[in-house]
Amino acid sequence: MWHELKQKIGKWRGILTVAPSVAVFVIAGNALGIFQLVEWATIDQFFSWRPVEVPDPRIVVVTVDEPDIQYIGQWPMSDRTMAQLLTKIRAQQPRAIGLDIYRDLPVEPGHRELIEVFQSTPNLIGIEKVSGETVDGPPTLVDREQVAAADMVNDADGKVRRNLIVMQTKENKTRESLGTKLALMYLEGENVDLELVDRERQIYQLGEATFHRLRGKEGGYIATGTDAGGYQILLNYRGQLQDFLTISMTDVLEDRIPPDLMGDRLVFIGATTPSLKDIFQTPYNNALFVELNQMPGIIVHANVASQILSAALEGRPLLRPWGSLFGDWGFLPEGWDIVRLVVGPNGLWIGFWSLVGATGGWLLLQTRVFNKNVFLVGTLVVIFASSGILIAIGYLAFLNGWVIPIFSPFLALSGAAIWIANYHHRWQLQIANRRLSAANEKLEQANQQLARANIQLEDYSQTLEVRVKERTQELQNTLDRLKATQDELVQSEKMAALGQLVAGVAHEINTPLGAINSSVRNLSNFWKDYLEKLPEFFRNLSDDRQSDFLSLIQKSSQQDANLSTREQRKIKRELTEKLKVAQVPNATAIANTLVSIGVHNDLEKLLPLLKDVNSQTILKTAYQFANVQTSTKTIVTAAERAGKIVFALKTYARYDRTGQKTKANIIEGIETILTLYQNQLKHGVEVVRNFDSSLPKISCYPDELNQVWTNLIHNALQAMDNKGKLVIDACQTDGKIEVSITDSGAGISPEVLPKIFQPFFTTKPPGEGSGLGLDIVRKIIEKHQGTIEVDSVPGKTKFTVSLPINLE
Amino acid sequence: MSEAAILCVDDELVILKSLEIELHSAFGDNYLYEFAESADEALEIIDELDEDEVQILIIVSDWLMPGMKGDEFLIEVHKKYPKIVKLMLTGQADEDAVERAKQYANLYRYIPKPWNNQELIGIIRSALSEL
Repeated sequence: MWHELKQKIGKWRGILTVAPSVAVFVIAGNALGIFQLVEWATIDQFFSWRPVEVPDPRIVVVTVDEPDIQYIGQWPMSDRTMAQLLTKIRAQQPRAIGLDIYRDLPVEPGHRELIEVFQSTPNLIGIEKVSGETVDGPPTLVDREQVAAADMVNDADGKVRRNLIVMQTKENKTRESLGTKLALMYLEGENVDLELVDRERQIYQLGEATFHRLRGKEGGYIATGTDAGGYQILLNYRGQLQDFLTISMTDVLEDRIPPDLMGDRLVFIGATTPSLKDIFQTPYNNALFVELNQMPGIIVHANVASQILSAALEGRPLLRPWGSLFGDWGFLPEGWDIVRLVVGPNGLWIGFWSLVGATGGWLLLQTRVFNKNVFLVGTLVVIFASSGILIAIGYLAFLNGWVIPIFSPFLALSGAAIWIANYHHRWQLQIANRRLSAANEKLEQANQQLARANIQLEDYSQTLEVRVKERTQELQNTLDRLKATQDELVQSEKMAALGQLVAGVAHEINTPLGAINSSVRNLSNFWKDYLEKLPEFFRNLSDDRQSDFLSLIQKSSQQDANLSTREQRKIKRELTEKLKVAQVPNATAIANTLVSIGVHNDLEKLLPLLKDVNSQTILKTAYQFANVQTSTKTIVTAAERAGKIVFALKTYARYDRTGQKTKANIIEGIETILTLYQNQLKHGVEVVRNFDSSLPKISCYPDELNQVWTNLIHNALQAMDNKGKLVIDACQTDGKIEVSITDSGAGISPEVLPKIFQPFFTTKPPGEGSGLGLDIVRKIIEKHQGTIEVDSVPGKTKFTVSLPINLE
Repeated sequence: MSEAAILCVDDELVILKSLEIELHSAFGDNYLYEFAESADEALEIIDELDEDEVQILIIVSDWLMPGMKGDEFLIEVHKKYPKIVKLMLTGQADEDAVERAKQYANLYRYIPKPWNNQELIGIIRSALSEL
C-alpha cells in the first residue's frame, strides 16, 4: 500500500517538483515586476486586436495642427486668438470646454479679452501641471477653481496606460485630471454623482461604473509612482485621434463649424501637431517604432473622459487588474504583500499554468509518439497549445475589463514544460542507466557463470576422455559378452537339435552294435557246434546231394537280404503250399528253413534233395552255413552303419571357433544330415534328391551350413509329422548355389509366415524349442552373403537357400 | 508242429536276423519264430497266430520304432493277451517309457542293446519255464 503510494508519487514526483518550483520563481519575478515590460506589451497587443469602437458622441476635439499654426501665424497663439476661439466654441453651447493649452502667462495682444472670456465662461476648464516641474494654470481660472491637472503618468517603458483621476497639488489641494473634470461636469448635467462606496478601499460608484483604485501591486500591473499620483485607474483607451470627432482650430476660427457639433458636448482644445511636443506613447504605439503614431495629449484626455463617461452611462468595462479580486487583504501587515501575491489570483494563476505546463509536458512525453527523439517537439506542442489558450483567456478577460498576467503564466508554463522535458529526459536516462546497470549486473553474472561453466567444461573435457575410454571398454566388454552369448546360443541351438537326435543316434549306434555282437556269437557258436560235424556230414552225402548242398549254399550267398518280414512270410506260405503239392514232408518247417537260407526259387531242382532221407540234416547244415554268411553280412552292414553315424556326428558336432572359411561340398553336408536323420526318414518319408552332381565346392563355414540343413530338414520332418515327401534340390545358377528343401506338410499359415525368422519365435510348446533355429539359420546365411526365402502353401513348403560360390 | 510261438519286433532287419539265428540255435524247432518290423505288423501277426490257434509265449520288442513305440505296443498287447511274456530289447528307451511298460504291460525284463546272447536266451528260457 505504502509502496504503491510511493511509486505513484514517484511517478508524479517530476510534476510535483517542477510545477511549484517554476511557479515560485515566476510568482516572485512577477511580484518584483521583472516581467512587467512584457506583460505591458501583451496588453498593448490586446488594444490593437480589439475592434475599433465608434467615436464617442459626447466628445469633440478641436485640434491645433501645423496648418492651424501657419494659419494664425505664431505660436503660442495670442490671447486674442484664444479668446476668439473660445468665444466661437462657447457660442455652440457645449456642456464643458477643456483647454489643454498652458496659459499661465499672458500672450499679448488680447490678454484682457481673454480674461474676460475666462471670467464669462464658467464651463471652461484650464490646465496646470501639478507634479514634478509644475506649471501654473491661468490665474483667472485658478481663482475660479476652473483648472484641472494635465499630468500624465508614464510607465517604465514611457507609455501612458493609466488614468489619473485626482491628485494632490503641492499646496494639498485636490486636482482632478482634465478628462476626469470634464467627464464629471458632463455627468453633473446627467444628474450622475460620484458616490463613495468604500472609503477604506477607495471604491467609488459613478453611475454604472465602479472605480477601484489602482494600487500598483496587483501583479499583473506593477507601476511606479502610483502612490504619489493619487487615485489612478487603468486607462481603457477608446481610440486614437482618428477615432474621435474632431475639428481644426482654423475651421472654428473661420466659422466653419457644423451648427450642432459642439452643443451639449465636451469640447477639448489641444495641440495635435508633434512639433509642439504635447504627444505621448500609448499602447497603440508599436514598440519598434515608438516615434510614429504617438498620441497627442488632448486625445489622452479625451480618452480619459470618454472612459469615465461610457463606463458611468453605458457600463463599458473599466480596465482593472485582477490582483485585488480577492480583496485588498488589508489585514496583512506591512511587507507581507508577498503572501497575497502567492495565494492571490496571480499566484494561483501562475501556479495553475505551471502545473499545466508540467503535467501536459509530462503526459505528452509519456506517449509513444513524443517520448524519445522528439521530446523537444512535444514540449513545444505543449507550450504552443497552452499559451494559445492562455492568450485567448487573457484576451477575453481584457475585453471584459480585466487585465490578467499573460507572460508570467506563459513563462511558468514554458519553464515547467521545458524543465519537465529535461526532467523526463534525465528520468529516462536514469531508467536507462538503471536498466544498463541492471543489464551490466546480469552480464557480469552471466560472465561469472560462463567462467564457472568454462571451468566445468574444462573439467568435463578432461574427464570426458577418461569416461569415453571407460564407456568404450564397457561397451567392448558388453559386446564381447553378447558375442559369447550369441555363440553360446548358437551352440545351444545346435546342441538342442543334436539333443533331439541323441535318442535316435543312441539307438542307431546300439542297434548295429547289438547286431554285430549277436552275429559274432552266432558265428562263434557255428564253429563250436559244426566244425567237428562237417567231415562226417560230407562223408555221408552222396555225390548228388553234395552238389545239391553246394548249390544251395551258393544260392544262399546270392540271396536278397532285404526282403521284409511281410514278404518273407508271404514267400513262406507260398513255398509251404508248393512243397505240400510236391508231397514233401514237413513242408512248413522246410519252407521256413529254405526262406531263412534265402533259397525259394527253382523248387523243382531242390525237390530231389528235399525228398532225400537226409534232407533234414542237409537243410539244417545248409541253414547253418547260410547263417554264417548272414552274420558276416550283418556285421559288415552294421559296422558300416555305425561308422557312418559316428562320422556324421563327428562332422555335425564339430564347432569351429577359428571361423576359417574352407572349400566344402554342399551335397556332402546335406548327406551327413540325412544320415543322422536316417532313423526318422526310414519309415514314412520319401526323400527325393535332385542333386546336380557337377556342383563345385564353395568357400564357406561348413559346420555352420550343416546347422542350416539340420534345422531345415528337422523342421520339414516335423512339419509333415515324419510322413510324406522330402524333396531336396541343389543346383547352380548364376554364380550361386541354390538349395531348396521342400516338405509336403500342412504348410505355414500366412499369419505366422512373416515371424518365423524372428528370434525366439516358436510354434512349439514351451521347453521344446528355443525359437532361435531359423534366426540362427538366417544369420548364418547372411554371414555367407546368401539369402533364404520361404514359400508355403498347404502340402508344399519350400525353403530356398541361395549361397554365393565364391564367398569373399 | 508245436503250437507255441516267439515274436520279435524290431525296425531293423539285421536285428531280426540275428535274433532268428540265436533263437534257432537255442530252441531249434520247438517254437515258431515270428518277426515283425513294426508294432502294427506285430499286431497283425498276433491276430493271425491267434486265429491259427498258435499261442504266443513271448514277445521281444524294440522301443524306438517308427510309428507306435515299444511301450505303447506292449501295453496294447497286454490288454488283449496278458499272459504273453513281454521283453523289451532296445538301444534307447527313456525311463518313463520303461516304467509305463512295467506298470501297464507287466514288462518281464528290459534288455539294452547291445545285448549278451546267453543272457537273452537265459531270460527267455527262464520265462518259458515259468509258464
